[in-house]
Amino acid sequence: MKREMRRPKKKVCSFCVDKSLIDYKDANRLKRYVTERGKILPRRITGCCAAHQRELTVAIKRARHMALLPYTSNE
Amino acid sequence: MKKYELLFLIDSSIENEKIDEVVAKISDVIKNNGGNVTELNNWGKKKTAYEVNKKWEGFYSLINFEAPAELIKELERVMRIDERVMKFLVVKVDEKKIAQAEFFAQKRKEREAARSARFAAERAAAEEAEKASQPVESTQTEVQE
Ligand SMILES: [Zn+2]
Repeated sequence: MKREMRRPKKKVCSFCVDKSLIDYKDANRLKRYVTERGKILPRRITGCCAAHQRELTVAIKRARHMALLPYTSNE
Repeated sequence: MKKYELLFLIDSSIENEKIDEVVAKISDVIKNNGGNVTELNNWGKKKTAYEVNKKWEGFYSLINFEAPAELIKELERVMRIDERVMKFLVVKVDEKKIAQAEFFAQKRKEREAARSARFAAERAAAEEAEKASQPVESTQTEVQE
């Protein structure tokens, strides 16, 4: 039987790979994990492991609180 | 004493001296309550990601400090009642995690340095070999690489 055709390549957690910190102050890096409207991307898209996704969510929320990232933007 | 990090956003529509005053005041709250400022890093005026108090910019300041746990409440109380402080966030610094990340970042740097050194050495060796093979131009067809 044929395997599912449009299966994206296996994603690895980028934070596990480079073992870097998730810093809420690093808005430029965090931007890669939110949609254009500012919503947090789900794990199936970010490819993050559960632990790092959780950490990422906390960091994004902190960044939003400090106005480093938007809550949602309509522009 | 635990390590903390405070990021706060000051209303930048006030005069520059007033901004300095706010930063000094916050630092003093830490110093006068048994804390110790280890690093002060003013980011300066920056655009905010959304409107804060009807403004699209503010002055960000980051303070790393050590303090007894009781100091945090007092620090937050002072910032909450100061209208010039529009936003603030105090987080505990996870030294173990930072040390770990630094360790791996250092490792990565070393690996990259070793790799580029190896490339440079290989390139130099290749150039040497080429130079050495040049005088025997007439027999070049035999000296296939
Ligand atoms: Zn991970």
